[in-house]
Amino acid sequence: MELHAVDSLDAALDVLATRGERCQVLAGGTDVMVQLARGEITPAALLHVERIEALRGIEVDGPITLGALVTHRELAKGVLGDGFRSVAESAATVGGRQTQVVGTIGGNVCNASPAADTVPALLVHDATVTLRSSAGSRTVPLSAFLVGRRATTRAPDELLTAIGMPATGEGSGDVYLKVGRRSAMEVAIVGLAMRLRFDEAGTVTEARVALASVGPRPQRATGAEAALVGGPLEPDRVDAAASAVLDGVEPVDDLRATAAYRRRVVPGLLRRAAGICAQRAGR
Amino acid sequence: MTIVEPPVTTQTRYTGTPVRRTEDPRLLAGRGEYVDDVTVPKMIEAAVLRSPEAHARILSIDTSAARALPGVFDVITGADLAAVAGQQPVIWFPIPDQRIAKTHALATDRVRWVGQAVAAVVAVDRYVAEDALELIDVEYEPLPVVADLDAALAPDAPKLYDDWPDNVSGSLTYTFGEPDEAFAAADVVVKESFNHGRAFGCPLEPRGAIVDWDAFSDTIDVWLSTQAPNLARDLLSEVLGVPVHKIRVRTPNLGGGFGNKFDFYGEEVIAAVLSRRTGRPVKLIEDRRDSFFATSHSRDQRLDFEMALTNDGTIVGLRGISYGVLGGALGTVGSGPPWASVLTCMGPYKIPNLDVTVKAVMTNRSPYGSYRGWGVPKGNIVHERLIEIAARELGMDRAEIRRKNFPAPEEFPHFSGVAFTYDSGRYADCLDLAMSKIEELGWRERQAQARAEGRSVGIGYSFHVEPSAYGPSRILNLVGLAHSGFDEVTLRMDSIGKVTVYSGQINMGQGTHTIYAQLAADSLGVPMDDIVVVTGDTDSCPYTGYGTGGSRAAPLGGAAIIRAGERLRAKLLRIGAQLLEASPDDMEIVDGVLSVRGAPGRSVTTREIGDAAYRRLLDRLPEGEMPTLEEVDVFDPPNMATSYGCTALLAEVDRETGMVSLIDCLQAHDCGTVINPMLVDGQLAGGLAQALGGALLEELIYDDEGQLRTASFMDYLLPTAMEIPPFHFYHQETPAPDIPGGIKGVGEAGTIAGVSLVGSAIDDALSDLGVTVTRFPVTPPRLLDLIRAAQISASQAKEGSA
Repeated sequence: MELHAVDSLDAALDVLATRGERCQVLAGGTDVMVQLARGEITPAALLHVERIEALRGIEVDGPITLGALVTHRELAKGVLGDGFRSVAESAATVGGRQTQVVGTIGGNVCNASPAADTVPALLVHDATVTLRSSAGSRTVPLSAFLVGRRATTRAPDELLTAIGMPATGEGSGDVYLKVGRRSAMEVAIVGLAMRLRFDEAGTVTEARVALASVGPRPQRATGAEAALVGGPLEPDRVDAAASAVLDGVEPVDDLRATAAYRRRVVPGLLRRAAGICAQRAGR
Repeated sequence: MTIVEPPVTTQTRYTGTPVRRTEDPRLLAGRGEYVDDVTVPKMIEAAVLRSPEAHARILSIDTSAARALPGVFDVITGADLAAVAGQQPVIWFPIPDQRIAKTHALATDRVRWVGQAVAAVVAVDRYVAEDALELIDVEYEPLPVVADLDAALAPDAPKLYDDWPDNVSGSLTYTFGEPDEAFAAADVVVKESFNHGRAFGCPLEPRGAIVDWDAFSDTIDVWLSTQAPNLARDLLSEVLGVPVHKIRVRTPNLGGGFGNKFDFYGEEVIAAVLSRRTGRPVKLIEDRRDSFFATSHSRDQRLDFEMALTNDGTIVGLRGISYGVLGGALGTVGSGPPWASVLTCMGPYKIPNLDVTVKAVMTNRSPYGSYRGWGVPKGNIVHERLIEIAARELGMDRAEIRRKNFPAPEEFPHFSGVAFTYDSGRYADCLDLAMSKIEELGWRERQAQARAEGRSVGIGYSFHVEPSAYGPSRILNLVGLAHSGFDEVTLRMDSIGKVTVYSGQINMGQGTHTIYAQLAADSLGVPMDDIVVVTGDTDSCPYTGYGTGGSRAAPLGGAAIIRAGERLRAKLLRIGAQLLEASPDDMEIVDGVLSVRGAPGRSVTTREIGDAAYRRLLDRLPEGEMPTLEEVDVFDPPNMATSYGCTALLAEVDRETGMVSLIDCLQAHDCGTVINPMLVDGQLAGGLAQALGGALLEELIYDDEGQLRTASFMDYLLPTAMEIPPFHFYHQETPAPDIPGGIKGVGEAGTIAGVSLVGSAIDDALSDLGVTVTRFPVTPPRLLDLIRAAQISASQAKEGSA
């Protein structure tokens, strides 16, 4: 196996242009090294991008831009501010401290695990991903980038360089809740992120709900979102959202929990999340 | 050999004090030496091919491509191994006329569990060896799989052993008193079926061996990660047909053992056979994935039991069956652990009528073996869960019903009704100590406040007994152990007056070296710094019956040190008396200085004693005194020593998700004389952490095809520091009457107490619903099922009454 350790974006894109088809991008290595050791992936080349300084930045004035190499630990510390607490909370539950300090947001997204903790939080913030290749650059919604279990629309010559999120306006609150058996080093049985925005009168004007570990990829629960918007956050509205949250979702049966367990737990999580969002929005 | 009674003036400078572990600095600095750190000249490395099938006939094995791979020295299959080695030994036969399912270290014609070894490669290094494994072609003919207990016991079940009538290896019933009459006359009978899932000790250092079979001297040098080097040596001799005196077993540092490394494994034999065939030392280290399949599994049991009581809460009878869900062959300890569950299912209570059965059942799972607690945690589930269910039924306080059934201190020694006689105890005092600490720590207020906030917080209890100091050799032989239970120690003072303790016990993190130095220093009257403890080499260290297991290193090794120390001390005093021209009766020794009592100016040091005994004897060593300063002691206990404790847990249940958080935990404990309170606390805490993991997280899950689905740390969840609550430990000391020094073992206490404890706390947190936890681990989905079922039946009852 070849190892390409690069320290510039151009050098990385050069490697991908020629070797992309059989090349595995390696950043923090918290997923890749495990997959290599287990023989789940057998790339001909590894492209180590962790030393590319240009991919480390965080812009927080106005819209957020995260370099792909921003670590979970940085996010968990809350560098994005109060409008992005779900991102901080989800990053704080990825693995344990040791993996958070090396694991990157770009890696978590590209690994496209159905249980990726940060992805639901990014989804409720309408995140986009920017991909570069030597031929050019494109920016796509994260929801379109993730297409299935461990599957994305990244082309072999492309590198995910940045993640963008619009600024949250006044009256917003967000949260990430995770159900697992352990408090750390745990793959989520269910993860739920929510963001609600209220107007002055307390009407929910915008709602986002996203789930991890219920299907092949983290996904938005649009039925629940629609049920939450359009009025004050009253019990009926939350009930309607809770009963719609699994519309179109076929929870999985796996070793961690049954589909029936997930079906039972998700509505309760949604209710809890709605209460926290309202509190955080000051409503 | 004369036994010297302990004199009244023994130095107790170290015993009972929290001396820091002398073993730690090296390990903390990363300078420990584990078996994989050992390199022997000309050593080559092996790897094992394991069966992907749970039950299959082996039709053919083609090793030619593997043999042809450059760097490969040898490839062996079961036929090659069986030509030079016998079957894997079993040492425990507790069930008379039991069918003993043995196999060779490599399967010969049939595999009976996923992960069973079928071939082995030895090559220049592990990488080449593993590459070669992929080139071995095994043709299997799958057979019907017996995936679990129900499948094994089904009337038309496929059989693991064709010449057996069914899959039951054996069954044994103990009766005591008149159980049928007691149950017929009882006011209340409570009954439940309990399950404990499969788990294992999971030492973070997997197992490993290096075997160097020297063809010229026909000797075998072994480096082995074992808790029982003498046992391993005897069993290697048995399997390989090589005399014991030609085998040397050395044990480097152990990165955890937890009973798993007590057992004797096929890999030791595989490495030996490969070494013999290649003429090279062979290293065979288990990797993490191997470890999940090839290291002994444990805990897997179903326990169907019922308890009979009178209306005042007096237990009058206990009966039931413990089903041991064994694997495809017997491990070293056979059906020992499920049998021990039956021996301890009455726990600390006086139960006059018993009818209890162990049934050992074979399945297509990995072999069952030793894990800290060794069956007793499941005995604890029986008595602690049932007594709480009874308390609920009778409307009694959970502490009160326990207290009512304890033997009083003056009733000891107390015969449990099945095999064990508990030596001593103040059970009610221990319970009271725990209850008073619950008050002091304010748990009841915390619980009340949480409940007022709508949170479900409960307090759980578990009273456990830990039969320790295994054990009187002849009694162990009588109940079916093909091995002994004594411990031997050599205490030697050298020519400059410094001391070496040689023991057959193994240190695996529990602090044996530290406590042995403490005990030797006090029994001799010398500074602890003057003492070195040597273990881990069968050539230089004495024989220990059994090994380091059964909570025996402290009481038995300790007692042997105390007894040898008393005799050696008497000799030092005699030589000192000669040097000081005094009577030995007037002599004392403190901190290595021997003086005439009342005349502190007249003194000599152990350095001068050493010189007189080894070098300049003339006029200094008393006539008739044997030169050198050495004492050997073999202590075979007349009875075991029963530790006990009362553990309490504050826990919170999330009714929406079934998640359990552990908030606070305490244990009041009595292990007789406490040698080192810090190390005792460490044993208690470590054991509890393992039990809490077993109660909530850890499970080796097999599917219907007999495939192990949780063979990684992603799916087999060990508890982390995040899950474990703070621990508070309180000690009372009731000396063991049959053990010199009064020491009782403490190595397994936490593992015994901690599983039923979690069930008790959850039941209490959900007391309004009437939930009873019977299956461990209590995962969130399982607990949510219980909660939902209770909620549904509660609402139905409401509707019914409306």
